[in-house]
Amino acid sequence: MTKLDERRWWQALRAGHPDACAELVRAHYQTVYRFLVHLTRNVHEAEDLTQETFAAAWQRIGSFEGRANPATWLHRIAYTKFIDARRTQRRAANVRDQCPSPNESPDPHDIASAGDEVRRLYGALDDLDGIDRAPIILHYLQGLSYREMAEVLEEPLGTVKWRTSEALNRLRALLRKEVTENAQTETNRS
Amino acid sequence: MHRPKPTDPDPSAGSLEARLRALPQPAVPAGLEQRLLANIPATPKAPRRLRRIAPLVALAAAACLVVAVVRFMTRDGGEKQQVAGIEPTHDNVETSHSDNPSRFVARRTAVDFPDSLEQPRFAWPLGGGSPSASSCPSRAPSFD
Repeated sequence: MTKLDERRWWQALRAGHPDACAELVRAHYQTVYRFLVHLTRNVHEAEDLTQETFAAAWQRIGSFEGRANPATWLHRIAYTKFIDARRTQRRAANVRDQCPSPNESPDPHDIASAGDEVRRLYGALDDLDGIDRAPIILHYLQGLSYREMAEVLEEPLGTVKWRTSEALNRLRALLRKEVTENAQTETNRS
Repeated sequence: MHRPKPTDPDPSAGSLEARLRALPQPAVPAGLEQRLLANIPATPKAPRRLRRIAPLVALAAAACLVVAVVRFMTRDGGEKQQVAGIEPTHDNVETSHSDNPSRFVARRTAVDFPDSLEQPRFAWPLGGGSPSASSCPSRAPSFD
């Protein structure tokens, strides 16, 4: 797309023209859905939140000034929808960060057929708190830069870097703990 | 030789980050794209700037209309006062001015002010005499 075409697309998008909106959907819906799957670990909830994300985007499209790129903007909306959904669930269930049992939803990452390494990593990610998981998902799985993450999480750049580093340390600790436990189990067997 | 990042002394840090980046992504359900496309609003919204300015423009137009109506009503009332008396034509002005300048001044002054306002004071030029008729602006002056 040339610069002139891109500018026209931006103008059409901010005006809410259906063709431009369709182009936005096609370009980013998979990224948004995968982000929400990583956050929610529930495919049905992720699908609902994806629809809510784009519905909110159409309402706010007129105020989108284009300073952030569309992917960052959509991630911001999706993350907000995830936080709102979590608050609603906590209010309804009155429990702290309750995870759905594996039998209630299909395998969100479809890792049943994946290798041990993949299962270990996703398992360790799932063990992280939702707030800790977000920076790792945004940076390593969604490929956002720290600056873009700061816009999504609405935090200072330094805080985002620190949170990502801390989350990575916690993940590493979980993996080491799993390795240690497995080694101990093997030792006990032998 | 690859050196670990100075901010992270753990040599396995880089490998964990690489492993995270290499994780396979979850599959996207079929039909999600169609559902999202179907929910796109059909009619584009008016630009945000236009939506902000439009009420202001309407308000300004209404204010101008009110001012115009008030001016028209006020001017219409003033014109009626001028029509009530004799129109000060050129001849009349000259005749009355030469014969009785003070009467002309009084009449002109009276015409300019509507009934509701207090009449300005004036002094008769003739000494010792009070005017035979009161200076009522509704009465036609005599130019004898």
